[in-house]
Amino acid sequence: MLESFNFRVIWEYMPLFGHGILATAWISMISIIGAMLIGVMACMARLSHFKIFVVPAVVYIEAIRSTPLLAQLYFFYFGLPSMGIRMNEYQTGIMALCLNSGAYIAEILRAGVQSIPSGHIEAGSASGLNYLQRLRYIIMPQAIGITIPPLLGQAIVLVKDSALLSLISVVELTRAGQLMNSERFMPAEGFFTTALCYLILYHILKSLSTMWQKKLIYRPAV
Amino acid sequence: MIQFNQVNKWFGKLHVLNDINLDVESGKVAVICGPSGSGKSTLIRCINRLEPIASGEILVDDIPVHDRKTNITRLRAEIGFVFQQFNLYPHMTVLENVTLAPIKVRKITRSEAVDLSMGILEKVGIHDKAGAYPAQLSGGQQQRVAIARGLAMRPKIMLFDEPTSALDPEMINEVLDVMRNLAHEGMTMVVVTHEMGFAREVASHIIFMDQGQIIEKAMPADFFTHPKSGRTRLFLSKILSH
Repeated sequence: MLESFNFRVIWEYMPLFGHGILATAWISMISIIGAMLIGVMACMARLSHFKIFVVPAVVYIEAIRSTPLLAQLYFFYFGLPSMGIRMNEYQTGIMALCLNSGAYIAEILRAGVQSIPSGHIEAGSASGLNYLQRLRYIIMPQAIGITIPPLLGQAIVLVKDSALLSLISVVELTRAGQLMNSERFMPAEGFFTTALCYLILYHILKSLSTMWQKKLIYRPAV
Repeated sequence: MIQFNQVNKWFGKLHVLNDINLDVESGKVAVICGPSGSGKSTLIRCINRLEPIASGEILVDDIPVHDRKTNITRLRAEIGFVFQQFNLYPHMTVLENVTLAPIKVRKITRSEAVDLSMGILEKVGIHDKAGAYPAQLSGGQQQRVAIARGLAMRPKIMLFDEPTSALDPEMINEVLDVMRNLAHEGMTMVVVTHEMGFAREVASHIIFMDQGQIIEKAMPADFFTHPKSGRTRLFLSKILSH
């Protein structure tokens, strides 16, 4: 199959793919950080005891999780300008990815926190630790270990979801493949290279998370 | 030292604490027994406000526990609590479990906390396991660590909520021995337990509860030989028959 590939053209398009992989990488990086911040806040609001925090958090999480990312992206890109809010395609794309992943991250974190047996938290209360101390010394160290694998999964989903930004004319990896295809009519070469680049990004993320997992997950040696 | 005045509490329609009046004086050991579902665990959990109450008041050292103005974390620091399920922090070693609250709540230095904690771990006979994780210990050992964790705060009161109910029979005595020593040292204790031998030996008073009410409060000698109420007699006949 590969003998029919025109590697010379792929080589010729390397600068474009280089630009694409960098764009996908930095867009994803910023979006993952933003999504984590939104996720942590949404999770805290969701778990609080005050309705004024819980209700908006639930509405946000449910609205995002029940609608497709592409529809959200189109709403932000075409809908918001008609309501007078103007942003360029990068800002729109990053905002859509942050808000989308933030909702999933909020639920992952909530599952992590709620998996801590309430007895551990009561033991902390009983010995006089305040809410923040219980969070810092009892809940977080256990919850982080539990949530790292699903958080990594969400990060990988976000990197791949960023491909949708090609539809609002952001030049990233998928857009690079499309450009090569439309200029040279080489769909196999173009999208094969795109896929290969995603594979590289995926393995970078995976090795990072394996490293963190070893550091952050406590293991009571049994 | 601990005072219940007309305390009531409901779980939905269930009247789980019904007009509770109770006094535990300093240095005394109150043992609470009764059938399951009688409200004994709920009662002991109210003393450090792990549970809210619907009406009445509980005073610890004349401080109203459920008053909104009461600094509850400060009050809890003076009250040790031992759970049926131990509830040790699984991600910390034995020593870290015991030193956490003294360092973070009492604000003593790490080395002071380690000295203090090693002394207490030695007292409960488990200092050789200071570096182990809870999962590496037997149930009896875990519960002794949990007692040490409570004692490390130098509390005025120790509360025990069925401390031996989750243990294998051969481990019960190592925990009861630690509690006996504590009682002999004059610690104020409230103990929910089914260990009637322990109650007979160390209790100042035995309180029998059923359906959210205190049915009987008596000295151990009277409680076992001349129980006043029919329900107490029925309960004793069931648990002392073997």
